[in-house]
Amino acid sequence: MSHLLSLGAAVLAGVLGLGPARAAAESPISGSFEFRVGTYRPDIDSSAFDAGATLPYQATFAGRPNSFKLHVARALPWRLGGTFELGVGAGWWETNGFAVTAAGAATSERTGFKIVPTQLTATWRFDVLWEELSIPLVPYARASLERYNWWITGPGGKTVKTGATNGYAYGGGLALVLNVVDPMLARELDSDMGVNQTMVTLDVSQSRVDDFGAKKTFDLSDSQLTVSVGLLFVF
Amino acid sequence: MAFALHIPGGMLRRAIFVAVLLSPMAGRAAPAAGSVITAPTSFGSADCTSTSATVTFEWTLTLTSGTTVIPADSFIQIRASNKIDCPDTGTDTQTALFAPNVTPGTSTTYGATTTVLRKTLITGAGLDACNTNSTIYVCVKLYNSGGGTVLGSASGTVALTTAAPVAPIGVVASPGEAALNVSWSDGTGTSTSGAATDYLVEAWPCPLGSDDTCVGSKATGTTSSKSLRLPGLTIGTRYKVVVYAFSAEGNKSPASAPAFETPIDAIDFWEKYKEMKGLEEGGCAGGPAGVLSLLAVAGLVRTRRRRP
Repeated sequence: MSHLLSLGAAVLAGVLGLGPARAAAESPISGSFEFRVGTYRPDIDSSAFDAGATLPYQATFAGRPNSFKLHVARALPWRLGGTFELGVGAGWWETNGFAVTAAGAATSERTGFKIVPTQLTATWRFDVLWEELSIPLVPYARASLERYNWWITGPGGKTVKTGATNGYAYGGGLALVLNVVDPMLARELDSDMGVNQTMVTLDVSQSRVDDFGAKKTFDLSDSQLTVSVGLLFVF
Repeated sequence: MAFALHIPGGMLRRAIFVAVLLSPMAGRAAPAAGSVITAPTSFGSADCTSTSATVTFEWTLTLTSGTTVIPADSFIQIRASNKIDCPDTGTDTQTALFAPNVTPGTSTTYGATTTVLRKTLITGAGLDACNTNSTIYVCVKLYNSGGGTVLGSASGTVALTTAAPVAPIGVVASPGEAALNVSWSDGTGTSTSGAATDYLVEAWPCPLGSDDTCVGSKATGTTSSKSLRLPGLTIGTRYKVVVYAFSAEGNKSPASAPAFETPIDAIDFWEKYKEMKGLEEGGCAGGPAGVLSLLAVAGLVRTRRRRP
């Protein structure tokens, strides 16, 4: 609780312009790196199935826990009224359920659906607030091309089908610059490791991953908004 | 004093060294003077009758006092006994010669490997009955040409372990896709039981009502854990499943109580999707954006750009 209070006070101080002056001799910025985890549920059942039919994703994975979608991304920056970054990312997501009998009863045999999403991202980060005014909040917007590489496992863990589906996503979020929490540590991180800024991000995005509207494909769009949190290092 | 120290010339010693390195026992600690090392160090009940299981020896002799030169016509005998030091004579001894007249002067006599059937060793020690845990003493003796004088010796032991694990209990077979998933627990042993280290699972086709006379080809699987997936079975055919436990020496337990189960046709997610007339066919999508993104990933990872 005291940590939260400290963080809140530091953020407030930063917003009010009371934060310590940013170090004048920061190392040059050459890119960023981000870990992000978020919610995801593929919208496979939105495809056209027979009326009244049991939807396959629902039948197999309903109630089964999904792993969070994990993304690791690296980006290269340009200054463009903030920071414009072109980046790449990759991630991991999977869910596992039980195969069923012809009558629909669950068996003890496992079946899984796994995705390695890859993406090409363009991000515009409005970090002028932090750079010029020391306000530790950085809104950003992001668009991406997506390629979801997937495979399905069946009984005994064998892979029964593989494929890939293309699409795009867009969204944005807000980053909190953690340098205000401990400026001295932030300076040490910069001098020792070249990390200029460390941020916590809250990201909301909408994806459309269905081979751009093709009919003969999985719809791997998120069935709802994807909400994720991450840790962003600007170096 | 080690026998090998008295071999004239360096070539033979180098040959011995190479032979030891190339032998199955290479990497093991060399036997101390006067000792014999065997591999394996213990036998199981199956070794009493096996005509293929072998044991390998490596030894270093301790010469008797006063022996400084090994006569060219001396010879080595390897003995097995249920008596310590493998006594040569006596009404109660059961010493046996099983690798007679190994002649010194070749690499095999000086710590390179000599291999014999385990069964020969057990028989030589008079333990043919193979019904109790026993110690087999192994002795290597160097004799003069007449065989009347022992010039050097080495000895070691092999454990004959006849105790088998008790039968596994709680065998459960659950139906899988043309397979059975079998799990079990170790039975409760006694002080004379062997510890289970490996398991054998067997399954026979066994129609209802013929539990004791199952027919057809047997499916088997082995594992060191307490569960096993037995694949390649026929969907819809009822199987009888039993599990055996084995000790580290290979002693086999009695069969477990049987379990009966029938493999099924389990419908995985892909089959369910196609059953529902899903149109996805798999494979890599042809959309250019995906390919471009992957190319960009590769390119950007290799590129570094610094802001001025």
